[in-house]
Amino acid sequence: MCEDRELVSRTLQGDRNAFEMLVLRHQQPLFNYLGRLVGERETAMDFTQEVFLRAFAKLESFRPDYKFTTWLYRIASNYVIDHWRKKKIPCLSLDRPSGPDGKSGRCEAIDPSPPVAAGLEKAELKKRIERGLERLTPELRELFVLRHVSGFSYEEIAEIKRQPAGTVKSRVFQAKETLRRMMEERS
Amino acid sequence: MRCPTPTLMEDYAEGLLSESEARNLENHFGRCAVCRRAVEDRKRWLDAFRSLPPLELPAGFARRVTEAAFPPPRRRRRLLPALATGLASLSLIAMILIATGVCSLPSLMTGSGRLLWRGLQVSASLGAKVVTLLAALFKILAQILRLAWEGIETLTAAVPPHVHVLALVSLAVLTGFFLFGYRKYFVRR
Repeated sequence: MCEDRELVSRTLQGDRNAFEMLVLRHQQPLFNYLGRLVGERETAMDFTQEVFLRAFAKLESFRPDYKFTTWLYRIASNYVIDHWRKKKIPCLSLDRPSGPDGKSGRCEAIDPSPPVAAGLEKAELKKRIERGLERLTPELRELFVLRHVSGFSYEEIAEIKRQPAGTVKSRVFQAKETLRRMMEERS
Repeated sequence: MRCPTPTLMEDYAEGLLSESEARNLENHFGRCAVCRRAVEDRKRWLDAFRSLPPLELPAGFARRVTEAAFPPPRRRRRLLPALATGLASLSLIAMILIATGVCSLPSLMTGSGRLLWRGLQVSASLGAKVVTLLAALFKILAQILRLAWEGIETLTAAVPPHVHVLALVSLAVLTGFFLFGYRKYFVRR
């Protein structure tokens, strides 16, 4: 099986089959990622196509010592952030503290919450998570999706978002805690 | 050992801890039922997060994207080659007719000249008809405009001058809105 780097270099030489193979390889995870972020199937499909076309247009700037997936998701992430900005959905920077009092969202106290997940059926849990995801802020949703839907490591997410891995990890944790809190409130 | 922090428990649930760190926590979970239940709950959440159903892409998506990235080359104009081929074919037919003795070169030239002249006559007559039709349409339009102008004159004679000014200002505002857009000022997106 060809590596992404090889497919990229063949695409740059004008091999359309190589590009189609690249798309086939990455389309499903990328669509899942964008779908979970924008929440609408048709929009997610258009975004997926647009991200691939942008990647194609910028393919010459891809450095083979980078991972293609990371590079592709960085393009996707920037595209979605642009979309949110145009739609005037407030976007916080990862550098800024998240709490209204200026403190970060880190939670180091002992976990006092009762086990909620145990009392719910798997299907019900999934449904609640999907609904909860829509209520998360765009930044937290994106980091959560990168980690727990797309399955990237914290280091890979840090590379995609160009942020320190520690910051990413604490924001993903915050996203999960927010989601859990929402589920607990509902139950 | 004190009860671990939620972040440490989350790291354990995600499998990010070293073997020794994990063992220490497991020892604690063996003694502390609250933490054991909490970490089990965290693991259940993580399983649920990971098992969100994938969104299905329609078949042929990759082909569509590839076609958009590599559009088919634009078809080159074929008018000139077609014209050249037609002329060459006509010359060939003429040569065959002359060579086989069906007709001579002078008669062929006379015949084709007549045909060309007839074609020119038909085109000229058709052109003249089109011009006549356009002139008639223009006359009708001029009549309509004259009637409209007379109507406006009658109306403006009946109203005082300050209403004229008001109407002109309203017209200018409406034209401005139409040209520069009014949605961005009045319609919230």
